[in-house]
Formats: sequence, C-alpha cells, structure tokens
Amino acid sequence: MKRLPLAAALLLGCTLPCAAQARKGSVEVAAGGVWFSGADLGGSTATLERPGGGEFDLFTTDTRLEGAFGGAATMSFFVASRLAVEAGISYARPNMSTRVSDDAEDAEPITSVIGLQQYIVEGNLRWYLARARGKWQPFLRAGGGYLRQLDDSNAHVETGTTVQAGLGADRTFRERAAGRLRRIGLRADARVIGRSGGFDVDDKLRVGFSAGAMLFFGF
Amino acid sequence: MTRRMLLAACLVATMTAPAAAYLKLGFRTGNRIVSISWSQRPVSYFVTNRGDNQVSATQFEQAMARAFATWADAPTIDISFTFGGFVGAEPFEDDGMNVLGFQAEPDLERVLGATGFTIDDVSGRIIESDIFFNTIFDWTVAPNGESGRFDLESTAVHEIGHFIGLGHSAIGETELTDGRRRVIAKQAVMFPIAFPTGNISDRRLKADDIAGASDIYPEGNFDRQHGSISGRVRLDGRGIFGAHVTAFSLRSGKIVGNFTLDDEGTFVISGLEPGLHVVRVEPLDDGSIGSFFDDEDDVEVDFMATIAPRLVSVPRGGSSGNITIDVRRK
Repeated sequence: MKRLPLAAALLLGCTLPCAAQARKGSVEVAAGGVWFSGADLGGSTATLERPGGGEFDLFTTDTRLEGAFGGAATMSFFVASRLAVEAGISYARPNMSTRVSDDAEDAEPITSVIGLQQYIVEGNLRWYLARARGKWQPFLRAGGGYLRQLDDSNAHVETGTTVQAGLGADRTFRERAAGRLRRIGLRADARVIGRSGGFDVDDKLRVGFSAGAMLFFGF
Repeated sequence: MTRRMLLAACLVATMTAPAAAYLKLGFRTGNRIVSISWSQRPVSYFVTNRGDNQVSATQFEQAMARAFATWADAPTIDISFTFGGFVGAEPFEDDGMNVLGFQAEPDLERVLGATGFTIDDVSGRIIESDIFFNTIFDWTVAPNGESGRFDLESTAVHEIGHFIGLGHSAIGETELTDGRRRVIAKQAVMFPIAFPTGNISDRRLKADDIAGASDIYPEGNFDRQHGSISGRVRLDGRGIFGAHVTAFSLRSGKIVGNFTLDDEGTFVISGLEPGLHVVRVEPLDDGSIGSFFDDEDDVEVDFMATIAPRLVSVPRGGSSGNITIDVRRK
C-alpha cells in the first residue's frame, strides 16, 4: 500500500534531467508543423548593350522566396542521456516571386510568381541542457540537410544543401517507466537555416529562419 | 528540287526576307515550316580574289576566317568551316561554291551585306550560300575598329549567322531620327540593324545568337543540358502572329528570344539554361517587319509590352510546358 505513494513521490520529485536519463537507448518519433521564413534573393537587370559600350536597362527584377508553412516529421535515437541523433524530413510549398518593373517600353510593373514544392531531408544532433526551465526541457539542435525543390509542374528539380542550428524545448505531458509508449509531449523549436542551391538567382548562401511545433512519442 | 532564296541583313534598313522564320531561317511547305541548315561538315567557303575599299583580298580572307571561327568555336555549336581558296567567282553566282566577297550594290543604299542560298526545298538542306559586302560603304579590318568605317569582321559574323541558317533577332531597341531607324542598344549580333561605324562589339556572339545556332547544330549533350519554354500569346482571347517573346534568366541574366509563328500565337524558345525565367512579350516595333517576316500584314503590333504573370521554370533537357500570356491593346 505504501509503495504507490512512494513511487508517485519519486516521480514528482524527479528533475527533468532524471527523466532524460531514462531516455538513453530509446527511440522517439515526432510530427507537426513548421514555418519557413522567406528570403530576399536579390535583384538583377535585363540589359542591352549600347553602341558606346554602356548598358541599356530593359527592365529590373527583384526576387524573393516567400515564407511558407509546412509539415515535418523526425525520428530520434538517444545515444546518451541528453544527446539524441535525429533524422527528419519536412515539406512546404513556398512561392518564389519576382517583382518586374522599370520596363523600357512601359510594360506594367508586375510580380511574377511560381509555386515550389520543397523537401528537406536532414540529420541533426539534439543536446538537452542540464537544467530544466519549469516544465520545459531546453535543447540545442544542429545539423545539415539535403534540399530538393520542384517547380509546381514537377518538371524541374533543383537541389541543394542546408545547415541549421537553433534551440527549442520539450514539454512532456505523460511519461511512464514501463510499456511500449513511454512518453508523449510537445516540442517547439526555432532555428537559423543556411541554404545553398535550390531555386535561386545565384549560388550565394541564403540565411533564413524556421520555427516548428511537434508532438513527440517516445518508445 | 532546289530554289534560290535571298536573305539580306544588316545596317539601318534591310531587304525583305522571303521566308524568314525566326529564330531559324526556313520556309513553309504545306502546314509545316522547314528550317534550313547545312548537312555536311566542314562547310567550305571561297573568297573573291580581289579586295576593295582599303581592304586587300588577304585581309578580307583573314577577317572572314575570324568570323567563321567565332561561330565554330562556340562550345555548344557543332559546326565547322574550311577555307577553300581565292576564286575569281562572284557572290550570288549559281556555281556550286560558297563565295564571299565585296560587291558594289548602290541600289541597296542601306544594306551593308546580304546572304543568299540555294536550298533543297524538300529537306531544307543548304546546297550553296554566298555573302556579299556592299562596297558603297567604307570598311575596316583594324583590330580595334576605325572611326567612320564599318567593321568587316562584325558584319561578317552577322552574315555568317544567316549563312548557317539563322534569321534575325529582335533583341534590341531603336529610335527613329530623321526618318531613319537608329539602334539604341541590342543584345544579339543577329539584330538586323548594325551598330554605327567604329564599333566592333558584334565580333562577339551574344546568348541569343548562341542559343539559336546551338538549336540548329547542337553540340554533344546540348539538348540534354538546356531546355525550352513554349506557350501562346493572346490578344482579346485570340492568338497573334509575330509577337516577340523573350526569356530572361534570373540566374545568368541572359536574354533569348523568339516569335509567335502562327495564328494560334504559339511560340517556342529553345536553347535556354535551366532555371527560372521572366518571360516578356512586346510588339515587333524596333525594325522593319519585313526583315523578319514575309507576311508583314499578318504581324500584330498593336499591343502593350507585357510581362508574364508567372515565373517560368526551364527544366534541363525538357520544356516548361505551355504557358499563356494575355496582352492588351495599346
């Protein structure tokens, strides 16, 4: 009769790092939503060559990758009490838009748009900080990824790479020591993403942000 | 069966082009357009054995050799040429030789040079082609050009573009001054109006020239590495003929153009680098329509320059799929 209250007291009194210690060797899957910020890709000018060697501007362009919401899923394996190796995939449908203006023959300024499908397959390390913040257990997350973007007709594919780093926190709603499903919780994170390649106007590294929230299930 | 076509090019005005279908020269037979091209490599050419106008026969031949090399050396164009020697024959004689030389053509007071063909009018194979350079103008072969004289090599690069089957490009802007059309700027050697005397920039091919010639004579895997945009231009809901459509690569800044070539308003721009392009349509108002098309009356010019509302993605080795661009009357 006294065992149960004692067990409950132990659970309640256990700090989150203690819970994390129980994670070593466990597997976790997570799924949820993610938002990718947009990025300015820069401007360019369509030019003709003047007889004297100068340039005649036909029109100017200013291109931007728009922000977009999407879905994400991850699978993690805890290689240590506070360190997880994570593989993930995200999907989003951002638009790329180009503002075309200053036409030499007075074509009306317009924003030309194309829809993209974007997949990012990534690998990350997630390292949990030793101290919890209330019911939230903060972590750092960093890794690299493979970017695959298709135009909306699926006719053209552009690929690239990503590097990302950020921080987030887990909040466990339910945790138990036995059974197949050990943990259920919410994970939120924000990251800086460096992207190279994909649909772009040049080969520069583009820096943007992402923020996501996922339900996770620990096994 | 063969027939002779005369195609003129260059300078302030042009002669008519009996069967010019931009980007490639061709002719209509039944419901189809047959493009003209050389079937053999290398293509041999001969040079008249007389100079003129401060340019010796040897200097003339050297300028022609550099101009031929400009096309042959472009990495994506599979064409080659060989100099057959100096001859007494004149350009535009039906002699089975491709002859280049000076000729005085005072009646063609605004034509720097012209290219003529004998073709197989079934297959489009070029059997013979000659080029003349009009001696009513002052010419130079000076390495950096010469004030008051037209650069022979620049004009030769343009005419050799016709020689291999290219029509005129409309990538340029002009203005009318004193009843004459003057070029403000251009981005294609194959634009029908030459830069003024002293200028040598047409010795270098531009993206539009290379795309056109590579489309006719693709080197190796050119077709697999490049793509095309196809679509339709409509005015008041109906297709229009002769609208000038250009594709601007957001990545490279290169501009390549073509025209709508039927009453449905359909167009194809080939030889494009993969990636995103801005597509722009404008009326053919920067040159004599006759230097582009036979049937001038069918060319629609009463509409506003228009940017396509959709960015167009060009796939490697494929087509963008059909896009439709609606334009408004002026």
